[in-house]
Amino acid sequence: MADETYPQELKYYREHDWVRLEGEDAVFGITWFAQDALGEIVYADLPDVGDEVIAGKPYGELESVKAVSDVIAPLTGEVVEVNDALEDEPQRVNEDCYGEGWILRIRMTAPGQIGELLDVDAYKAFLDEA
Amino acid sequence: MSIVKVLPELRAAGGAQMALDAGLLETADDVIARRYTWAPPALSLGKFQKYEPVPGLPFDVVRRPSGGRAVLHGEGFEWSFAVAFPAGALGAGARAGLDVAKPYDVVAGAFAGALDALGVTLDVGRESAYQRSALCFASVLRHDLTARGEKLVAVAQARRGGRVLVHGSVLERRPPDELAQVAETLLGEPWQGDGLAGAGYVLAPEMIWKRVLVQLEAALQRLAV
Repeated sequence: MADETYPQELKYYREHDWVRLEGEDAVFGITWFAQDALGEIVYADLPDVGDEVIAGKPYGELESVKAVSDVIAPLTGEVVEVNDALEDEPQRVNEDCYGEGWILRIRMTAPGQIGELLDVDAYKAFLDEA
Repeated sequence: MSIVKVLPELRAAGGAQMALDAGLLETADDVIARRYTWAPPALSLGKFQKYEPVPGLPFDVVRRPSGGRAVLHGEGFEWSFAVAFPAGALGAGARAGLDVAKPYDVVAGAFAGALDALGVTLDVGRESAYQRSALCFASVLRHDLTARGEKLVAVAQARRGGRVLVHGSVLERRPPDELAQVAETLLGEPWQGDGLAGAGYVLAPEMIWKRVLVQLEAALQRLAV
Protein backbone atom coordinates (compact mmCIF):
# COMPACT_ATOMS: atom_id res chain seq x y z
CA MET A 1 0.00 0.00 0.00
CA ALA A 2 1.35 3.40 -0.96
CA ASP A 3 1.93 6.17 1.56
CA GLU A 4 -0.92 8.50 2.46
CA THR A 5 -1.39 10.91 -0.42
CA TYR A 6 -4.08 13.15 -1.91
CA PRO A 7 -3.14 14.36 -5.41
CA GLN A 8 -3.46 18.10 -5.98
CA GLU A 9 -5.13 17.78 -9.39
CA LEU A 10 -8.12 15.74 -8.16
CA LYS A 11 -11.42 16.81 -6.64
CA TYR A 12 -12.81 15.13 -3.54
CA TYR A 13 -16.19 14.28 -2.04
CA ARG A 14 -17.12 14.07 1.63
CA GLU A 15 -17.88 10.36 1.33
CA HIS A 16 -14.17 9.83 0.61
CA ASP A 17 -14.29 9.60 -3.16
CA TRP A 18 -11.78 11.23 -5.49
CA VAL A 19 -12.92 12.61 -8.86
CA ARG A 20 -10.92 13.30 -12.03
CA LEU A 21 -12.81 15.51 -14.48
CA GLU A 22 -12.28 14.69 -18.18
CA GLY A 23 -14.56 16.84 -20.33
CA GLU A 24 -18.11 15.49 -20.03
CA ASP A 25 -16.86 12.52 -18.05
CA ALA A 26 -15.82 12.02 -14.47
CA VAL A 27 -13.64 9.16 -13.29
CA PHE A 28 -13.78 8.28 -9.65
CA GLY A 29 -12.55 5.94 -6.98
CA ILE A 30 -11.99 6.00 -3.23
CA THR A 31 -9.32 8.01 -1.46
CA TRP A 32 -6.22 6.78 0.29
CA PHE A 33 -7.94 7.31 3.63
CA ALA A 34 -10.97 5.27 2.56
CA GLN A 35 -9.01 2.26 1.34
CA ASP A 36 -6.87 2.37 4.47
CA ALA A 37 -9.91 2.53 6.78
CA LEU A 38 -11.62 -0.33 4.94
CA GLY A 39 -8.56 -2.60 4.89
CA GLU A 40 -7.72 -5.26 2.33
CA ILE A 41 -10.48 -5.25 -0.26
CA VAL A 42 -11.44 -8.72 -1.46
CA TYR A 43 -14.57 -8.08 -3.54
CA ALA A 44 -16.08 -5.18 -5.46
CA ASP A 45 -19.77 -5.23 -6.39
CA LEU A 46 -20.16 -2.50 -9.01
CA PRO A 47 -22.90 -1.20 -11.35
CA ASP A 48 -23.06 -2.02 -15.05
CA VAL A 49 -22.37 0.25 -17.99
CA GLY A 50 -25.58 2.15 -18.72
CA ASP A 51 -26.70 2.29 -15.09
CA GLU A 52 -27.35 5.64 -13.46
CA VAL A 53 -25.48 6.70 -10.35
CA ILE A 54 -26.78 9.50 -8.17
CA ALA A 55 -24.66 11.88 -6.10
CA GLY A 56 -24.88 11.04 -2.42
CA LYS A 57 -26.39 7.58 -3.02
CA PRO A 58 -24.66 4.17 -2.89
CA TYR A 59 -23.50 2.88 -6.25
CA GLY A 60 -21.81 -0.33 -5.13
CA GLU A 61 -20.29 -2.26 -2.27
CA LEU A 62 -16.77 -3.25 -1.29
CA GLU A 63 -15.94 -6.21 0.94
CA SER A 64 -12.92 -6.05 3.22
CA VAL A 65 -12.03 -7.95 6.40
CA LYS A 66 -15.50 -9.55 6.49
CA ALA A 67 -17.13 -6.11 6.24
CA VAL A 68 -19.44 -5.13 3.37
CA SER A 69 -19.42 -1.33 2.98
CA ASP A 70 -21.46 0.80 0.61
CA VAL A 71 -19.63 3.28 -1.63
CA ILE A 72 -21.28 6.60 -2.39
CA ALA A 73 -21.34 8.38 -5.73
CA PRO A 74 -19.83 11.89 -5.75
CA LEU A 75 -21.70 12.98 -8.91
CA THR A 76 -24.80 12.03 -10.88
CA GLY A 77 -24.48 10.47 -14.31
CA GLU A 78 -24.58 7.42 -16.52
CA VAL A 79 -21.91 4.76 -16.13
CA VAL A 80 -19.87 4.57 -19.34
CA GLU A 81 -17.01 2.39 -18.10
CA VAL A 82 -16.35 0.13 -15.12
CA ASN A 83 -12.90 -0.97 -14.02
CA ASP A 84 -13.43 -4.65 -14.84
CA ALA A 85 -9.97 -5.51 -13.56
CA LEU A 86 -11.33 -5.12 -10.03
CA GLU A 87 -13.42 -8.26 -10.53
CA ASP A 88 -10.30 -10.43 -10.36
CA GLU A 89 -7.98 -8.02 -8.57
CA PRO A 90 -10.00 -5.88 -6.14
CA GLN A 91 -6.84 -5.29 -4.14
CA ARG A 92 -5.81 -2.79 -6.83
CA VAL A 93 -7.97 -0.32 -4.88
CA ASN A 94 -5.52 -0.70 -1.98
CA GLU A 95 -2.37 -0.86 -4.04
CA ASP A 96 -3.00 2.10 -6.35
CA CYS A 97 -6.22 3.86 -5.36
CA TYR A 98 -5.74 6.84 -7.73
CA GLY A 99 -4.41 4.80 -10.68
CA GLU A 100 -5.18 1.16 -11.44
CA GLY A 101 -7.67 1.13 -8.57
CA TRP A 102 -10.07 3.58 -10.23
CA ILE A 103 -13.68 2.35 -10.06
CA LEU A 104 -16.09 4.08 -12.48
CA ARG A 105 -16.24 6.48 -15.39
CA ILE A 106 -19.54 8.31 -15.73
CA ARG A 107 -20.97 10.76 -18.24
CA MET A 108 -22.15 13.56 -16.02
CA THR A 109 -25.81 14.56 -16.26
CA ALA A 110 -25.68 17.23 -13.54
CA PRO A 111 -22.30 18.95 -14.03
CA GLY A 112 -23.39 21.75 -11.71
CA GLN A 113 -22.60 19.35 -8.87
CA ILE A 114 -18.89 19.81 -9.58
CA GLY A 115 -19.04 23.02 -7.55
CA GLU A 116 -19.91 20.98 -4.46
CA LEU A 117 -16.72 18.93 -4.63
CA LEU A 118 -13.76 19.78 -2.40
CA ASP A 119 -10.25 20.68 -3.44
CA VAL A 120 -7.39 18.82 -1.82
CA ASP A 121 -6.86 21.30 1.01
CA ALA A 122 -10.56 21.32 1.87
CA TYR A 123 -10.65 17.51 1.86
CA LYS A 124 -7.62 17.30 4.14
CA ALA A 125 -9.24 19.81 6.48
CA PHE A 126 -12.45 17.73 6.41
CA LEU A 127 -10.49 14.61 7.32
CA ASP A 128 -9.05 16.36 10.34
CA GLU A 129 -12.40 17.62 11.63
CA ALA A 130 -13.14 16.23 15.09
CA MET B 1 -29.91 5.71 30.88
CA SER B 2 -28.61 2.73 28.95
CA ILE B 3 -27.09 3.34 25.55
CA VAL B 4 -27.68 -0.23 24.41
CA LYS B 5 -31.27 -1.30 23.72
CA VAL B 6 -31.56 -5.06 24.06
CA LEU B 7 -34.08 -7.04 22.03
CA PRO B 8 -35.60 -10.28 23.38
CA GLU B 9 -33.84 -13.48 22.44
CA LEU B 10 -35.31 -15.02 19.32
CA ARG B 11 -35.42 -18.62 18.11
CA ALA B 12 -36.32 -18.63 14.42
CA ALA B 13 -35.30 -19.78 10.94
CA GLY B 14 -32.25 -18.30 9.27
CA GLY B 15 -34.19 -16.31 6.69
CA ALA B 16 -36.07 -14.45 9.39
CA GLN B 17 -32.93 -13.90 11.45
CA MET B 18 -31.04 -12.39 8.52
CA ALA B 19 -34.04 -10.26 7.54
CA LEU B 20 -34.06 -8.87 11.07
CA ASP B 21 -30.34 -8.12 11.02
CA ALA B 22 -30.70 -6.46 7.60
CA GLY B 23 -33.59 -4.41 9.01
CA LEU B 24 -31.43 -3.24 11.91
CA LEU B 25 -28.79 -2.14 9.40
CA GLU B 26 -31.38 -0.11 7.50
CA THR B 27 -33.24 1.47 10.41
CA ALA B 28 -31.40 1.40 13.77
CA ASP B 29 -31.48 4.82 15.42
CA ASP B 30 -30.15 3.45 18.72
CA VAL B 31 -27.45 0.94 19.52
CA ILE B 32 -29.45 -2.30 19.42
CA ALA B 33 -28.19 -5.71 20.52
CA ARG B 34 -29.82 -9.09 20.24
CA ARG B 35 -29.00 -12.75 20.78
CA TYR B 36 -30.57 -15.45 18.64
CA THR B 37 -30.62 -19.13 17.81
CA TRP B 38 -31.27 -20.86 14.51
CA ALA B 39 -34.11 -23.37 14.14
CA PRO B 40 -33.90 -25.28 11.86
CA PRO B 41 -30.10 -25.34 11.42
CA ALA B 42 -28.70 -23.20 8.63
CA LEU B 43 -25.55 -22.50 6.70
CA SER B 44 -25.00 -18.76 6.34
CA LEU B 45 -22.88 -17.44 3.49
CA GLY B 46 -21.08 -14.14 3.15
CA LYS B 47 -22.91 -11.65 0.94
CA PHE B 48 -20.64 -12.24 -2.03
CA GLN B 49 -19.51 -15.80 -1.33
CA LYS B 50 -19.88 -18.09 -4.35
CA TYR B 51 -22.37 -20.93 -3.96
CA GLU B 52 -24.22 -23.31 -6.29
CA PRO B 53 -27.68 -24.18 -4.87
CA VAL B 54 -28.16 -27.87 -4.05
CA PRO B 55 -31.57 -29.46 -3.27
CA GLY B 56 -32.33 -31.74 -0.32
CA LEU B 57 -29.92 -30.33 2.24
CA PRO B 58 -30.45 -31.02 5.97
CA PHE B 59 -30.21 -27.28 6.70
CA ASP B 60 -31.35 -23.94 5.26
CA VAL B 61 -28.86 -21.90 3.26
CA VAL B 62 -29.09 -18.14 3.76
CA ARG B 63 -27.05 -15.10 2.82
CA ARG B 64 -25.85 -12.66 5.42
CA PRO B 65 -25.81 -8.91 4.74
CA SER B 66 -22.18 -9.02 5.95
CA GLY B 67 -19.02 -10.34 4.38
CA GLY B 68 -16.87 -13.31 5.33
CA ARG B 69 -17.20 -17.02 4.82
CA ALA B 70 -19.68 -19.82 5.56
CA VAL B 71 -20.90 -20.49 9.10
CA LEU B 72 -22.97 -23.46 10.24
CA HIS B 73 -25.63 -22.45 12.76
CA GLY B 74 -27.93 -24.51 14.95
CA GLU B 75 -29.20 -25.18 18.43
CA GLY B 76 -27.00 -27.21 20.71
CA PHE B 77 -23.70 -26.26 19.12
CA GLU B 78 -23.86 -22.56 18.24
CA TRP B 79 -25.64 -19.28 18.98
CA SER B 80 -25.54 -15.89 17.31
CA PHE B 81 -25.74 -12.21 18.14
CA ALA B 82 -26.04 -8.85 16.40
CA VAL B 83 -25.18 -5.30 17.42
CA ALA B 84 -26.36 -2.39 15.27
CA PHE B 85 -24.85 1.08 15.61
CA PRO B 86 -26.50 4.23 14.22
CA ALA B 87 -24.33 6.78 12.43
CA GLY B 88 -22.00 8.57 14.82
CA ALA B 89 -22.42 6.08 17.68
CA LEU B 90 -18.77 5.06 17.55
CA GLY B 91 -17.24 8.50 17.37
CA ALA B 92 -17.64 11.82 15.60
CA GLY B 93 -15.63 13.17 12.70
CA ALA B 94 -14.96 12.23 9.11
CA ARG B 95 -12.49 9.50 9.97
CA ALA B 96 -14.75 7.66 12.43
CA GLY B 97 -17.49 7.20 9.83
CA LEU B 98 -15.49 4.78 7.72
CA ASP B 99 -13.47 2.98 10.36
CA VAL B 100 -14.03 -0.76 9.93
CA ALA B 101 -11.81 -1.69 12.86
CA LYS B 102 -13.63 0.30 15.54
CA PRO B 103 -16.97 -1.62 15.54
CA TYR B 104 -15.04 -4.89 15.63
CA ASP B 105 -12.91 -3.59 18.48
CA VAL B 106 -15.99 -2.63 20.51
CA VAL B 107 -17.95 -5.85 19.97
CA ALA B 108 -15.04 -8.30 20.08
CA GLY B 109 -13.71 -6.37 23.06
CA ALA B 110 -17.02 -6.87 24.88
CA PHE B 111 -16.85 -10.62 24.21
CA ALA B 112 -13.21 -10.76 25.28
CA GLY B 113 -14.06 -9.02 28.55
CA ALA B 114 -17.05 -11.30 29.15
CA LEU B 115 -15.13 -14.50 28.43
CA ASP B 116 -12.21 -13.35 30.54
CA ALA B 117 -14.59 -12.69 33.46
CA LEU B 118 -15.86 -16.26 33.06
CA GLY B 119 -12.35 -17.67 33.31
CA VAL B 120 -11.60 -18.24 29.61
CA THR B 121 -7.96 -17.64 28.74
CA LEU B 122 -7.98 -16.15 25.24
CA ASP B 123 -5.11 -16.50 22.78
CA VAL B 124 -3.30 -13.34 21.80
CA GLY B 125 -2.21 -12.41 18.29
CA ARG B 126 -3.34 -15.47 16.38
CA GLU B 127 -4.28 -14.57 12.83
CA SER B 128 -4.35 -16.36 9.50
CA ALA B 129 -4.74 -15.08 5.95
CA TYR B 130 -8.20 -13.91 4.92
CA GLN B 131 -10.23 -16.20 2.69
CA ARG B 132 -7.81 -19.07 2.81
CA SER B 133 -10.85 -21.21 3.61
CA ALA B 134 -14.52 -21.23 2.55
CA LEU B 135 -15.43 -21.97 6.18
CA CYS B 136 -15.40 -19.07 8.60
CA PHE B 137 -14.37 -21.08 11.64
CA ALA B 138 -11.36 -22.50 9.80
CA SER B 139 -9.47 -19.20 9.66
CA VAL B 140 -8.79 -16.48 12.19
CA LEU B 141 -8.71 -12.72 11.65
CA ARG B 142 -7.58 -10.05 14.07
CA HIS B 143 -10.98 -9.58 15.70
CA ASP B 144 -11.92 -13.23 16.03
CA LEU B 145 -11.51 -14.68 19.52
CA THR B 146 -9.65 -17.94 20.10
CA ALA B 147 -8.61 -20.04 23.08
CA ARG B 148 -6.11 -22.91 22.89
CA GLY B 149 -6.18 -22.47 19.13
CA GLU B 150 -9.96 -22.95 18.90
CA LYS B 151 -11.94 -20.13 17.33
CA LEU B 152 -14.74 -19.29 19.77
CA VAL B 153 -16.37 -16.15 18.35
CA ALA B 154 -16.51 -15.15 14.68
CA VAL B 155 -17.63 -11.65 13.69
CA ALA B 156 -18.59 -10.00 10.41
CA GLN B 157 -19.80 -6.53 9.50
CA ALA B 158 -22.07 -4.60 7.13
CA ARG B 159 -22.12 -0.81 6.69
CA ARG B 160 -24.82 1.20 4.98
CA GLY B 161 -25.74 4.85 5.12
CA GLY B 162 -23.49 5.43 8.12
CA ARG B 163 -25.03 2.59 10.16
CA VAL B 164 -22.96 -0.42 11.11
CA LEU B 165 -24.09 -3.96 11.85
CA VAL B 166 -21.69 -6.34 13.58
CA HIS B 167 -23.05 -9.82 13.91
CA GLY B 168 -21.40 -13.05 14.76
CA SER B 169 -21.47 -16.59 15.95
CA VAL B 170 -20.31 -18.32 19.13
CA LEU B 171 -19.30 -21.92 18.52
CA GLU B 172 -20.07 -24.01 21.59
CA ARG B 173 -18.94 -27.36 20.19
CA ARG B 174 -18.41 -29.21 16.93
CA PRO B 175 -21.66 -29.42 14.91
CA PRO B 176 -23.29 -32.88 14.61
CA ASP B 177 -21.61 -35.03 11.97
CA GLU B 178 -24.75 -35.18 9.81
CA LEU B 179 -24.55 -31.39 9.36
CA ALA B 180 -20.77 -30.96 9.29
CA GLN B 181 -20.31 -33.69 6.68
CA VAL B 182 -22.84 -32.13 4.31
CA ALA B 183 -21.21 -28.72 4.78
CA GLU B 184 -17.86 -30.33 3.98
CA THR B 185 -19.23 -31.83 0.77
CA LEU B 186 -20.86 -28.54 -0.25
CA LEU B 187 -17.82 -26.38 0.39
CA GLY B 188 -15.17 -28.93 -0.54
CA GLU B 189 -13.14 -28.86 2.62
CA PRO B 190 -13.24 -30.59 5.99
CA TRP B 191 -14.99 -28.96 8.93
CA GLN B 192 -12.61 -27.38 11.38
CA GLY B 193 -13.50 -26.05 14.78
CA ASP B 194 -14.69 -27.47 18.09
CA GLY B 195 -15.29 -24.05 19.68
CA LEU B 196 -15.58 -23.58 23.44
CA ALA B 197 -15.78 -27.30 24.16
CA GLY B 198 -12.63 -27.89 22.12
CA ALA B 199 -10.84 -25.36 24.30
CA GLY B 200 -12.17 -27.07 27.44
CA TYR B 201 -15.05 -24.73 28.33
CA VAL B 202 -18.77 -25.25 28.81
CA LEU B 203 -20.53 -21.91 29.34
CA ALA B 204 -24.25 -21.18 29.19
CA PRO B 205 -25.07 -18.72 26.39
CA GLU B 206 -27.17 -16.55 28.71
CA MET B 207 -24.23 -16.22 31.10
CA ILE B 208 -21.89 -15.04 28.34
CA TRP B 209 -24.43 -12.70 26.72
CA LYS B 210 -25.36 -11.02 30.02
CA ARG B 211 -21.71 -10.13 30.58
CA VAL B 212 -21.21 -9.07 26.95
CA LEU B 213 -24.03 -6.55 27.33
CA VAL B 214 -22.45 -5.12 30.49
CA GLN B 215 -19.10 -4.80 28.71
CA LEU B 216 -20.69 -3.27 25.62
CA GLU B 217 -22.59 -0.68 27.64
CA ALA B 218 -19.41 0.25 29.52
CA ALA B 219 -17.42 0.61 26.29
CA LEU B 220 -20.06 2.87 24.73
CA GLN B 221 -20.36 4.95 27.88
CA ARG B 222 -16.61 5.53 27.71
CA LEU B 223 -16.88 6.55 24.05
CA ALA B 224 -19.72 8.96 24.87
CA VAL B 225 -17.69 10.88 27.47
